[in-house]
Amino acid sequence: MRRLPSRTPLWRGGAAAALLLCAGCSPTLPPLPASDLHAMPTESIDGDAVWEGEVLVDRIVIVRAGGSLTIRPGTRVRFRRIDWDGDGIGDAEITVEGRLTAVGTAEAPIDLGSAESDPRPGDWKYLHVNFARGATLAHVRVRHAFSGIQVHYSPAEIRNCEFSDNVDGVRFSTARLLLTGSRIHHNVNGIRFEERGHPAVIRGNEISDNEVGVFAVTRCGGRSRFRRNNFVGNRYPVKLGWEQDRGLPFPENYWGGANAETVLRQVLDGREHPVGPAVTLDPVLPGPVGVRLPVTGESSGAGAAGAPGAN
Amino acid sequence: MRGHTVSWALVLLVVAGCAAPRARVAGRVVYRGEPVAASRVVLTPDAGGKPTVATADDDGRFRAVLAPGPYRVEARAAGAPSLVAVPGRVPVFLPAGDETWLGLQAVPDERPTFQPLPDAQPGFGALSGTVRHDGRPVAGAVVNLYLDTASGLRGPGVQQSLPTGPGGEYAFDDLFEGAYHVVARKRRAGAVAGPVREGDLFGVAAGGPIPVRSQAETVLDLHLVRKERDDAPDADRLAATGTGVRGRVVDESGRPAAGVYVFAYSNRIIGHGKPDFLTLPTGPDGRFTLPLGSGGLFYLGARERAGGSPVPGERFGFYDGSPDHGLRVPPGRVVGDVRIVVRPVLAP
Repeated sequence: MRRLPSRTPLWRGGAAAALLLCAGCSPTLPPLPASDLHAMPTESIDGDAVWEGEVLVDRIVIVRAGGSLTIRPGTRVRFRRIDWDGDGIGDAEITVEGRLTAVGTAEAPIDLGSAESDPRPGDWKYLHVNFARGATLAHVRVRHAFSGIQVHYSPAEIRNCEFSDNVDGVRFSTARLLLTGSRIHHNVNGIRFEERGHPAVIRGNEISDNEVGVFAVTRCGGRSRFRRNNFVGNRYPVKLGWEQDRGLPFPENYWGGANAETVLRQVLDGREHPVGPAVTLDPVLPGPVGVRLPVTGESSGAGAAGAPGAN
Repeated sequence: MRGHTVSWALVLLVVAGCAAPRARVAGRVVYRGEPVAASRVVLTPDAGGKPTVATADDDGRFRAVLAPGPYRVEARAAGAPSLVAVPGRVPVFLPAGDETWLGLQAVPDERPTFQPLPDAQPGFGALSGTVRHDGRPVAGAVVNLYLDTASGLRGPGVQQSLPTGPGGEYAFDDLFEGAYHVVARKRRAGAVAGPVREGDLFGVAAGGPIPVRSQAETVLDLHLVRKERDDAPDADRLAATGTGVRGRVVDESGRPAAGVYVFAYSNRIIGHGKPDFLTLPTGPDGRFTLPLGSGGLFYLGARERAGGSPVPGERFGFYDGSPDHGLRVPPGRVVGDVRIVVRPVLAP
């Protein structure tokens, strides 16, 4: 496994070098003030970088506004569980302010996950696409992060990916986002979003076995379109945040064979309050949508892989 | 010999007293443009301590010399109506050196009244009233409540009202029993956030925090005055601490970017929160000066709107002098030549 080259312009001196040389062992870090995030080891990508093979991330990686990162098919990126600020969440992350291209294949997916032998959600922070020029992901598996991916103020296209065992699988706000053909499962929140006036398209995905399927936190106005997805086995299919002041429609989705009335009993949408917002589900699809599952290329649902709902 | 020792000690004390830096303040109290004579202007150290009192002359003018620092300022005048004036900045930083000018616009001195609210839960009360300017109700004003003055009574506070209607009424229900600083603002173009600009209306309830009692409704009318001229929100802090950054905001072609605010957060993850420091919009040359309190590590950027989350098309950019956009500014130093590039959010 190769480590990132040592270009840490922010972190000072020998402690960073010691960390880099300590491949395969637990890093010994000097104590840092909890609020002094400026002192975190940071890798800056200013030009065009390409990752392939095995990559170990033990710091913050920032793809700057003029830079780009391409991750080749079959690449395994592993993040160390390092918590510099003591908030209980791993601090290794990739932040993209330039451009990210992570396009694997069904046969050679890209794999982002924990480097630890006992991986758990929150081992690393996130793949963070923030004020970026763009991000394209296909056939990428993301596990054991705080957020599998966060997309804010950026265009992004996510196809045939898998997000599992994270706190938030996919999280976005004010994003020009297309999320399709992906499997989002066994997270606390499958999808968490704040629409803030900008539309996203979430279509032809399987969102299953999460604590919450979709969490609309606030400022969601129904312009993010959730259509032709399979929602199966989520404890709470939909949850609206306390500051979400209007109801949201989720038409044309499959809810595990249940009708709208049954699903709505499990929805946390404030309808217990007389003037609370409400979720609507009609029309409910009677059968699952065909979704091309990522990584293995297997298919689920009644339709064939690549059926109209998938893309 | 003993007498000489005492004399020298006295001299040293006097000299030391003369050498200590002093703040000088001058101002004028007016009501609807006319001077308010014999106003009693009280300047109380924000951290507590003995207030300094000045009395306005026949033209409403007053002066005082006092220790530098933050002060709560309030002027009162007896009469019909009795008047009170509170500046928009709470507290006001009075630096050593150059004289600070305080223009105080008086309004009728309202005192809260309390009505029983038996339907409220124990521990909860309400606050309501009418927002007025020159005696007339103000529509579209927003009232904010603050628990203390740590934020300088800026930002959304702990509660924010809906905009007032044509009758100027505001109301807060289900407030925790306690005391709240009450500020009302009516910005042009209906904005509910951002600095109060020249021509906007504002008013700070006099007398300190307003009580909200359990199972009672506090009724308090608020009188607004018009902001006479723009001043940078933290300009007085820069004068007081000499700490900040100066630089220029440009677009991607390197041309000066006018009309953008420069902000600083003390936390790298800025989220949807309010910045710790903010300038007024840049002018045609894109230049800015951003005071930064007592210094430290700040994450800098610039944007077109003063409040709320960025929106598509809005010009936005981070300081790019470091990968994480952070800049460490030592106390007492102004870091120059800071350059920030802005471009539209979600630009195609």
